[in-house]
Amino acid sequence: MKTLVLGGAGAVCKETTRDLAQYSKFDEIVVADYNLEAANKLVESIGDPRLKTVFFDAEDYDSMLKLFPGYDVVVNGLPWKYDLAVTKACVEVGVSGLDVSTEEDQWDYDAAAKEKDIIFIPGVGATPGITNAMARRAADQMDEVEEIQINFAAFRCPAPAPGLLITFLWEFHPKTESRVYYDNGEFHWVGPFEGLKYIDYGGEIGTQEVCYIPHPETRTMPKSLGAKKVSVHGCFPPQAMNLAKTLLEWGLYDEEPFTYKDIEINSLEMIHQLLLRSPKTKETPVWGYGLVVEVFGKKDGKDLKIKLWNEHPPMAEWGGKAAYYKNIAVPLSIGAQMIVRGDVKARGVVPPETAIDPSILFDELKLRGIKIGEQVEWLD
Amino acid sequence: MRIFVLGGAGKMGCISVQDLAKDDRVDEVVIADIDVESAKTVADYLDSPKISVQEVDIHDDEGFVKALDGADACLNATVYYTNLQAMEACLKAGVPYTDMGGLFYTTRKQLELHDRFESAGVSAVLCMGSAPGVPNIQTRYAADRLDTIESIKIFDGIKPPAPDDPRFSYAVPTIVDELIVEPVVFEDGEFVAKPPLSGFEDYWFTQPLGLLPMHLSLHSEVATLPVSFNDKGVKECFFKINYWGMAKEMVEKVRVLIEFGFDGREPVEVDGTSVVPREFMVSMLSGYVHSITDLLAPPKSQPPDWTKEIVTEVHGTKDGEEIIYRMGTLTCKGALPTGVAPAIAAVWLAEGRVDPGVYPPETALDPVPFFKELEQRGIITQATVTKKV
Repeated sequence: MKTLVLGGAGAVCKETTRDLAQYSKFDEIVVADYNLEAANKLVESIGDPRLKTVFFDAEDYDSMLKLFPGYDVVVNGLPWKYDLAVTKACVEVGVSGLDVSTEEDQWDYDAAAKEKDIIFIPGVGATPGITNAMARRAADQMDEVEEIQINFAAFRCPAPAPGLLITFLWEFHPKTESRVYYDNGEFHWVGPFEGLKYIDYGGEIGTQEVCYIPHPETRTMPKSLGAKKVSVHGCFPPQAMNLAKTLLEWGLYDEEPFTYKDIEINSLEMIHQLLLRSPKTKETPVWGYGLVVEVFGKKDGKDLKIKLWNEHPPMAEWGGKAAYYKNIAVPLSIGAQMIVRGDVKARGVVPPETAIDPSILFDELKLRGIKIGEQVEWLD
Repeated sequence: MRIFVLGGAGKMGCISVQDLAKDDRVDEVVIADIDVESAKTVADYLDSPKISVQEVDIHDDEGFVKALDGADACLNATVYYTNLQAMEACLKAGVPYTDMGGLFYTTRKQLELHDRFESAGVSAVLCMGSAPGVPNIQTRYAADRLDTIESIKIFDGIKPPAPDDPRFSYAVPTIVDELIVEPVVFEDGEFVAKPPLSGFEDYWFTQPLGLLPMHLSLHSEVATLPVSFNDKGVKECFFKINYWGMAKEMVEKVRVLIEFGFDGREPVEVDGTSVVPREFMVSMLSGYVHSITDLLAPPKSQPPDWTKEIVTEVHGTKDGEEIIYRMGTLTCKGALPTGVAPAIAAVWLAEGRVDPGVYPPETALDPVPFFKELEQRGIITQATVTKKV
């Protein structure tokens, strides 16, 4: 069995590579990265003879078509802007795959993927990913699903990598169209920093203020789990939230051309570039990932609420930034292993809550120190 | 009398122009600015035959000196970075000079030009914005009545705007500097740097201003007053203000940008353009200022509905008796003294009332006539004397 790990030396995905080396039974694990030097260094540091490296340019679609055949699963750890191209290439060459985020257009390849008898799962990270499995676990215990509330705390700095800064800025952009919640058949758009509430994530993260965040779970769960209401709330560390709020309040998200030194520039693009260069955007005191999913529904005619949450080792034990990255990277590795083991029966391009058996995922997470808590509360 | 107002189209300069145009002693006011369009807006709004507009680029040394020809005084209302350059031009042109402050360090450098100005027979009074400016002359009033001075405590109390009012109260670059540069205080006879936004204390101002939270800020008064009154034994001097007249919430938002590196002075290359983060931030925020018409409009309130009080508490002794002078200058329009005080100084300079050389306000201007001139513009100064019964 062979797997190809795209961007396998990147900030997040290097933890996937490490996990695959430590836990998987693949005969060959190929790290495909634009930064071959970093990939070689990573492979050398892990020291597993199954690991190999290959240069890979995600901008070159044809190179995907040449590279993907022969692998049993493609693990896509690239920034989300490549999700669609990788899905398309996987379907074209007939290789199963998965990634850590979701592009709406990925679902368009469902029928073609079924024809090729492959599976592609968009969004097998922390959220989407673990949160989808949490919601599925709760929904499986109900006759009717009334409401799914997903809450996350992504405790990382704003710009650990260029792609992650774009995600951070995009989530609070006043014009982001996909910032919606679902209520009885309709998607409702909301602005940034709306729907404020407090969630206790426990551990080093504690209680945090969250707001509506554009996330794919809102789109997929009304259909996949039959939920009447779905929302995703989230937050970054307070100083990062403060930065986003400040940029917004000063009108710096305005993408109208702005004259600086007689040159017309896009202020948001300039802010993106300046933030990438700022040391402050590379640091945050606490790294980690808090996930809390609350599902409301009925069982045998009675109202109930099932709450699931994650617990993971603290920074001191997991090594600083890894306390954040592993929460995304480990499910990606587990998902790839589940696909090749035959634990995933579905075919097509399907969301994690449909493809992944929560019990298997949670057991695997537990092996790595990530525990999923569950509490059932019958409501009067 | 012809007064040359450099940066006369700016937010504070336009108020000076307005005041000078109304002054009977003044025949001509030149709005000298690189931004001719704004200069015309100011001139049109004020609609005075005394006002003319002249395009001046301070970086064009020759053109600048030439433009000063015929002026009886130059009032520099631009941001303080230009002070030394403007003084050199005035020295060459033989035109008396005043400005609105040099944020401590620039003021010190400006004072070093004293001998050259004195030799050339040219006079200059520095730091004549409302603060610095008014507190220096308040201190002089008290100093003239005291044998010794223990401390000079300056509190610039401004009615806070609404929490969501994002507008800067004066020059954006100066406020950004005041936020990041360590304030200097004079403590036990030594100049000591303190962290920005530190030394908080609540201070009572004349009603309706009441109790306001004051913090240290870098200011020029601290650079000159302990030196000017060194012979009276000054041991302590500080300047405190409440968020530079801005809403606390908005100051915090500027701080966030600064924390994330937008105040960086090293250029970075962005898509082939060399960008200085600080310049970019200042450009982006420069829209958050009061409009010229707002600034030139009459005060929205009338006495005693004060919106600003500049207080200097001078603690000292007279004939062995401990005395506190609390000098309070009140206005209903916060920006008014900032424009008016240097306008008065410019007129006095033009009248030859200041000896050749470079001086801080406290050694150049006579307090009582100065306060009387402020009073004619509705800016009232009160002295409260506290001593044992």
